[in-house]
Amino acid sequence: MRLSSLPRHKTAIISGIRTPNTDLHDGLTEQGLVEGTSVEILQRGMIGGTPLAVRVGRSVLALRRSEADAVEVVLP
Amino acid sequence: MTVLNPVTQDAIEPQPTDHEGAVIALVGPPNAGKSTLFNGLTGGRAKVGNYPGVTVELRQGRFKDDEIDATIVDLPGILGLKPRSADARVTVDVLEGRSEVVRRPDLLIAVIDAGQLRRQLPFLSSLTSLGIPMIVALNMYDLAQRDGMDIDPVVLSEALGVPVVPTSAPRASGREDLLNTIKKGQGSVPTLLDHDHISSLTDKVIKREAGLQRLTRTLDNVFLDPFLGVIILLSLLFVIFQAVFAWSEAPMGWIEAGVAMLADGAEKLLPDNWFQSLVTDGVIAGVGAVIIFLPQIIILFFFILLLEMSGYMARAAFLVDELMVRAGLNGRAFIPLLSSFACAIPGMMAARTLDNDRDRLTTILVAPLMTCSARLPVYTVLIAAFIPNTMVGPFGLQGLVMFGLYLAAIVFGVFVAFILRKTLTRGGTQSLLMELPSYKRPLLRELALGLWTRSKIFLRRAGTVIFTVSVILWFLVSYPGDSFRESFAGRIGSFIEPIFKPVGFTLEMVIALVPGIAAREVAVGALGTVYAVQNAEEDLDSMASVLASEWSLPAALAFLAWYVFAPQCISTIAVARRETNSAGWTWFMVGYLTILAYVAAGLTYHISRAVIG
Repeated sequence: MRLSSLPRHKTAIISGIRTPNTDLHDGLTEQGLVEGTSVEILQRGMIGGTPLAVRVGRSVLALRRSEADAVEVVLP
Repeated sequence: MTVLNPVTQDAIEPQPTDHEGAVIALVGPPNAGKSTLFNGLTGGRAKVGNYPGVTVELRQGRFKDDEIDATIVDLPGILGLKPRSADARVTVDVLEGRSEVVRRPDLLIAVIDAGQLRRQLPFLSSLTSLGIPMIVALNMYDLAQRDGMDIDPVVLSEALGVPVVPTSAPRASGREDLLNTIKKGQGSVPTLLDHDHISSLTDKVIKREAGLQRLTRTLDNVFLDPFLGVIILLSLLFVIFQAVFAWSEAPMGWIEAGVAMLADGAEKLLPDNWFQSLVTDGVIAGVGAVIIFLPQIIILFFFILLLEMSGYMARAAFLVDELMVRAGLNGRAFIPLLSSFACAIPGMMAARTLDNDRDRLTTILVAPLMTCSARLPVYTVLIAAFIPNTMVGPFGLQGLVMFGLYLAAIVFGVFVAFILRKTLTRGGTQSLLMELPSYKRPLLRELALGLWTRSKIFLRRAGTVIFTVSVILWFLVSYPGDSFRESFAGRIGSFIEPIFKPVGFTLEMVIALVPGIAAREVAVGALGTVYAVQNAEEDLDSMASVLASEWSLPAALAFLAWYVFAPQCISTIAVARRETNSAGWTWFMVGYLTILAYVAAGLTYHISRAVIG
């Protein structure tokens, strides 16, 4: 499933990054969104549920819903 | 022209040094504490903060003792060796030996946030491909330990083949270990790390991983809440503006009384001649009119520093992102724009953290619309003179008007950005993708240092630019003839007066505008001198009461409206030229701001005249 549709406060594991946008792919990877990392949605924004505050390992990242769409996750 | 960053007093354009010693560069991911470490090593005063992208330009310092003489370079944070933003390009250029300012470093100090080791280890391994001798500083080691992490630096050191030193940037202990390691020449070319082995290495180095810091989780539950978070952000901004106005009242009164005493003393002490007039009506009236505002500047910077050091800044960017995207900007542009409330120059430079050129250009073009601290004196003196000090519910009316001026600037900033993104800077926006750093308690020392630096800069400007302007203006206003219009200043002003007549500006206002081009607050000093000379025979009251009796309300409001928009700051224009690297865009910025200012002043003048009758 996509990270963007993960329910709030549910921990999942990243299974891959899927996007044709190489800049976005590199950006996500550099920020630590790599396979095997545990993620959790902490907050969603007010308008259209974007941006998302995502716990990645032990840090918090802000990404838009469209960016979170590129991140595939599985529930453990 | 050498332009200084008014917040840090650095040259905007770093100059190469001819120093011979070794070049040691601090390199690492954003917000890993490189600048704090740099300050500790060099005794420097690099700006530090708790958000990614505080440093956007390289900074050099010298470390010298009996054993070692080296240039230490602080570099903007990077996440990889393929730069996408202008600040990262500065760093990668240095690392690959393409920089015109410093040569390729002889030694890298890779500064890694120990608490984020798992996330930052891939970056560390990419540094191994550079082939430059390296020492790893596991920074904020004490904080990681406190959070319950257990890290084995020895395993990491063996895998990389370089020394790994636990450090804690603001404290001296780890710094000495780091210095000793440098002095012993133990930095060595790292073993090339295989990408596939990173994850198994990570598991060996990190013996116990902690979860997300509890404080950060708890605070983000509140501060990032879609409703509560926005309400808190708005209240916070409102409290800041009320505080700038209310808390400063008493200390401003003291300084005002001090200035008046000084003027009285000078008047009694000096014989009644031209020199007495120069001192009291020129220098004391001009410089005094401006230094009164020191308390406001300090309070404003106190809050901005607090926001920057605590980690809240990035949260604010999170909260406004969707709104900014709809306006055509990017939530990340919020940080440069918020810094522009202190001064547009660091704001424009902070726009370098934006990857997308059009996002960056748009941010630079609207940054001067944000109400910088130099406008505070102008606003305050006019509000004190023309807006009654009554209460509207729990709020002072004067504070509300001030808030309205700030709000007007923001609304117009968003509006201009929207129009630009639909026309001249059309195109896609970059991703948000930003780290929200863990919250940190602001260090009192850093806070005090930041305020001290800022006050010093403000006072120095009052002592140099405003002093000079006051002396020159005193002469131009005092000679020749008896009436203001006959004086040199009056004659010069008469040339420009017709341009501003349609928007209701008087001759005195026009004359204050001219030196006000140098910097906005100079206009207040200029008005101080102009009216002191004019009213030399009378006992000079406070500036506000003089203005209240000399200016009509519509003219005063028009003057305020002018200052909301006018690009009256030479340094800002020079920095815009450098950051956009385009004379065309710079002229465009100056042009649109001037037109907006003129139209706004005109509309304000005529509408308020029609309303008042």
